[in-house]
Amino acid sequence: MLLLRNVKKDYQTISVVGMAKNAGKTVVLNRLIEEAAELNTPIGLTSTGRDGERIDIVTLTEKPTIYIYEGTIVATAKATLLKSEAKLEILEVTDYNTPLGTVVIARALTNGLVEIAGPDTNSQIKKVAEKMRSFGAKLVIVDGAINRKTSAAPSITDATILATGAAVSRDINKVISETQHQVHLYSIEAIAPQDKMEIATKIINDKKYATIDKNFNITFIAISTSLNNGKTIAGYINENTNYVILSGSLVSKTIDDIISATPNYKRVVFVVEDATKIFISQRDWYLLAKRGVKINVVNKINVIAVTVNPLSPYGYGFPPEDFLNKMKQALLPLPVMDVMMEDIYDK
Amino acid sequence: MSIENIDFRRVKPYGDTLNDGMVQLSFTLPVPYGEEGKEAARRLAHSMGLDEPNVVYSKDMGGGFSYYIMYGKCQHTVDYSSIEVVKMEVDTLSMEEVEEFIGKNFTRDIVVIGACTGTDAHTVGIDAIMNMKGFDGHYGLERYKGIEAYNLGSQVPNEELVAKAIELKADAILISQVVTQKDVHIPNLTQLVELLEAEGIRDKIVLACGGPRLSHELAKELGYDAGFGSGSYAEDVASFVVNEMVKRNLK
Repeated sequence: MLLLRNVKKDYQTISVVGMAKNAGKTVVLNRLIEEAAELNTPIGLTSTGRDGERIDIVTLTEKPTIYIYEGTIVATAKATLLKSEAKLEILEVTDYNTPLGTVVIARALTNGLVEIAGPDTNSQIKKVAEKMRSFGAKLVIVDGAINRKTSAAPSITDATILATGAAVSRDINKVISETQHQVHLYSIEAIAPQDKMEIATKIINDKKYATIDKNFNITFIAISTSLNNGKTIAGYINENTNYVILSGSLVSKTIDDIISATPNYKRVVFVVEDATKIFISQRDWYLLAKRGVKINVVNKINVIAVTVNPLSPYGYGFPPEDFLNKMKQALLPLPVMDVMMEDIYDK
Repeated sequence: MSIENIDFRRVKPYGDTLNDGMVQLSFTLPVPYGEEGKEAARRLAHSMGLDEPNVVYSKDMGGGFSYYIMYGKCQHTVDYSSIEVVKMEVDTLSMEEVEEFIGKNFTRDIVVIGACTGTDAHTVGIDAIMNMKGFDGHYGLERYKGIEAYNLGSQVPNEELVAKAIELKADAILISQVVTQKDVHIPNLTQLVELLEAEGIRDKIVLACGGPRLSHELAKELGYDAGFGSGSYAEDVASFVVNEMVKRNLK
């Protein structure tokens, strides 16, 4: 199965995010590089963490290296640029600073191994992706770090591949249910009525908090974050409220405080920008759904596929086929694949 | 012992003579105190790569547990000459110099929040950096003119910390992680970054972490601007914060 077959032509950037450290993000990245080379698609590569170093700095286990082809554009910090074996032509030195030095954009003049460590923040990643496109990359791939997933936000990348694996937990059922929860979050529906959607988008773009009632009246809530402000938000919800628009994050405690302060929470739909803003555990999510809490997003995340890695760096693993099949069943109809296993079968 | 005789490509621990490989280590075993326990400790140390392992001290911990201190000769070597560690590129200023730097470059006080987050209750690290009296003769950030320092203490949930940062309009957040089980400090540290991104304030904040298991190199993967290992003082942190704020134009 080709991962890139699921990437639509108009997608300009895709992110690879992981459920945990060592979930197999770099293996997926290498697969994408190979597929892009076969399709003759010029790509740009960057990472919110660090990729291609031979030894993991936490577990001291071996990590996959990254081999790129001539013409590939990379955005990587000075210290990692100097370690790369591919010959690189510097295109631009950015203002973005990281613990590994300034981020540099470069083009590979030869095939070879590289280390990639891009900018630290999402807004910088977005700008660097745009720059790589202006230098000729048709598709930019952003690799995530550890379990950081906010680069999947539709405001940053157009589509996402989620990597999961045994590293998440020793319990196979827990790995599956946590991955399922993440995919559920990414599948939260966008607000249905187009007119309300436009209002909500504007409120979120202005970084405001507000309610919308049946008659389209907007009432702004004078807060600068929803954190610790659940009771204040509840005070703005009445029988006529339809939507509660929350820019910024949404955590369990905020919703709990709203529920305890007003019975009207069942009548409304809470709206956040996208699923990366939601910090609610699987258990809490289930309980909130039972109590009638409804959540929508403004921007839905496009999950292209989920990849599985049956091995953990802590020395245990799951039977590969069993793990893959269970994950497939849990995530239907989403494509699920084990990149390593396919490589073995192909050869 | 002259330093020229040391082979930096094959370094071993030093006890009494070069390359004798002497190592001391201690651990507890969940077995009763006794000769069988001592033999188990010896065999375990041998599996760890120690030649001639000896139990030099052992003690009954009660409840079927026993404690051992071992000596042994390490079989392994390390190639010191090939090691490259990423270090911070900031020259550390003294407290007075930091204060002067703030006076010159800022028209207001800098707000710094410090906390020990998640499950960690060990405030020794953050206290050493933040508290007025400081640590080891180095005053903490609370004493600095031009810095408003808030030490939130231990076991602070990430969402409380972010709420406080928004309320106080923090310029810098310092996170300490000293003792955590099973690497939980890693998802805890990344969750804070994700929450700051979700709140849209990551770009406005200088974010640093510190602790014995954190390095400047790991900070990059975690999404932090800097990581401070053991042996860092308030002036190291303050120098980094003020320089970074000027670099990123956060005035």
